[in-house]
Amino acid sequence: MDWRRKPDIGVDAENERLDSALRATGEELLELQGQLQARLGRDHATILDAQLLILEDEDFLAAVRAGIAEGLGAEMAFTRSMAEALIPLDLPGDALFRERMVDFRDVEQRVVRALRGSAEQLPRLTEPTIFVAQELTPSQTAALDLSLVQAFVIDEGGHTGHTAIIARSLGVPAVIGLKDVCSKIASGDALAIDGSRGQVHIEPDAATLRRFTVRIARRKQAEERLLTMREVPAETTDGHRIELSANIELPQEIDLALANGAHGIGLVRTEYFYFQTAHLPSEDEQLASYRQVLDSVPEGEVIFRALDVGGDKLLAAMGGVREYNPFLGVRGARFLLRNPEILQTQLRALYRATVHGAMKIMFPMVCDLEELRAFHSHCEVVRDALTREGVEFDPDVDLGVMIETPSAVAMAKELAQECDFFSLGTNDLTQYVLAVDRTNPRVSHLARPHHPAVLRAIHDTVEAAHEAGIWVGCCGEMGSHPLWAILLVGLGVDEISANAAAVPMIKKVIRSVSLDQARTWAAEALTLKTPHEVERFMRASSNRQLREFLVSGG
Amino acid sequence: MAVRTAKISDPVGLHLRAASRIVQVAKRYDSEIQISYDGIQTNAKSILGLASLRARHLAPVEISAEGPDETDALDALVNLIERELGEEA
Repeated sequence: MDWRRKPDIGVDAENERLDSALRATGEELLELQGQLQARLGRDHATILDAQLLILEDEDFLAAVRAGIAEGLGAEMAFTRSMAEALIPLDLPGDALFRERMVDFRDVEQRVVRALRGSAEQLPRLTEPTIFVAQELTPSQTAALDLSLVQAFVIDEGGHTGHTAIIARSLGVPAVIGLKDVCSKIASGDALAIDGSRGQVHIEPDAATLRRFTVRIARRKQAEERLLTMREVPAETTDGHRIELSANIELPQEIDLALANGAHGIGLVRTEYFYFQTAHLPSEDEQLASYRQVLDSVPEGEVIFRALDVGGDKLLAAMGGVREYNPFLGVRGARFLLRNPEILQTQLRALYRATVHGAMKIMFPMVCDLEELRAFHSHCEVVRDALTREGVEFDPDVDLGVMIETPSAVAMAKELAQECDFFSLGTNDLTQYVLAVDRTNPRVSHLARPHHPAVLRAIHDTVEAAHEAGIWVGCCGEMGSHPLWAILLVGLGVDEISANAAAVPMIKKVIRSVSLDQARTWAAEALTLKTPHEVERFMRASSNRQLREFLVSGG
Repeated sequence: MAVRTAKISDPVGLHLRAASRIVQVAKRYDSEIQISYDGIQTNAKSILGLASLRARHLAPVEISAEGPDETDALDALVNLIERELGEEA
């Protein structure tokens, strides 16, 4: 298996696949054009000019490449950009303009076919393996048999990257971002991976091996102790119950989440279902996926988040403007509301899923009432259509919004009047409140969720929600940190959705404090002036039980 | 920057083959060239962009060009849109 030394797994590889698919399609079309010209004359052959021009349409290809840079496979990036480019053409009653869609769809099919022929297959894992690669795209991760992956060692990426999130949630050690470690490892090397310290030992000596064996055994014991709490509720010492659930990205994570004692799934990132295929998933395909999730969660509730993509990918397929600030651009709610077909297809699938289990639906990155009301209108359209069609669904399924922007916090009172629940997306909330791009390694260390500015935003949100009689959850990384989870409890959050692997620890943490205690700490933290003060205060205040988690988890 | 207006001479309007001709001609020039109609502005070198313009016969499209050969580009495109497209059809 020499695949892992190839420098072309990931974005570069997808771009190369795209280029060669474009070349192949171009040759195919030119040959076809030659045949047409010989048979019917030059005039007829020029009908293929438009298709050839798409293959070199710089604006359009920039949009495709932006999708690839975002982590999409070339097929998905191409199909998505094409779908976006065709939206303005798809107006009813305008045959002349709709006809051209046929030409464009034909090119799309040719390119996707060419891409499929060249799809780079990751090797099939047949035995427990440490996965070493330069990069790993979401679609590649989805194709891996994760039950065989013992650890990830990835050159590129950071703490909040896709692979890091999945590894954390599966409880698999991962060392990510060592830049060139790939080139130093040969296939078959023995590796000792220390995920919590970010170390990779190549061909470890006997002493290192012994040290690792002891630590692994100790860790296993600690995990087993935690698992004994699987059946007990996440309750403070004075009986205040917190709904403790897990975030998932891949359906494979559900079993681990439930085995770890999560009551439900507080965040299903539906993006995964869109990364899986080369085309946008149809309503029926989505319904099947959502059902599968609901079927795997027999008791608790599942919260599905509508497709949350965004950033620098819509660009100029239509002569638009490239986004220099993708985090402030068309993402989350904005993407969905600009792509009503994609949104309504998903909403139809979600509404149809409501008869298969307890669930809620939430919308990402809503900033204000206009956006919330627009979502409600789309929901109404979908409900009306389903009713007319005689399809069974629950029209009263709860609709909530993610609180991720300062604007949503400022408008929380008004938003709370018109939705059924809030979920604090603390990763984005932290990024937007503190004006820190969390994907920029030069500043990402400043994205601290325990910053008093963020705590105050959370406090205001919870207050607004409870005043309106709706509940507030938290589905950000903050809820997977022992100290910050306690702060969330103290601030009045009703539900915490943590990484699947962190659920037992967070449950133990919740069970080790009283609500009174947590409230007192949160109230004190709200008066502190810097994140450093908050951290020092929480570390000093936390009792012995909490401290045992800080050694490895903090 | 230079700007001119041209009326679509092709009786069918700005159909796909006509749009392809515009892209092919626009690409011969280094200038940045935009074509706009009915509130939509698009890159004249992008076939998907041009395809989104719903310009019918005699619709006035505005062409703007910026760059070293902007005047030549405009001359060629105006000639194409106002005359050649109609003659070829």
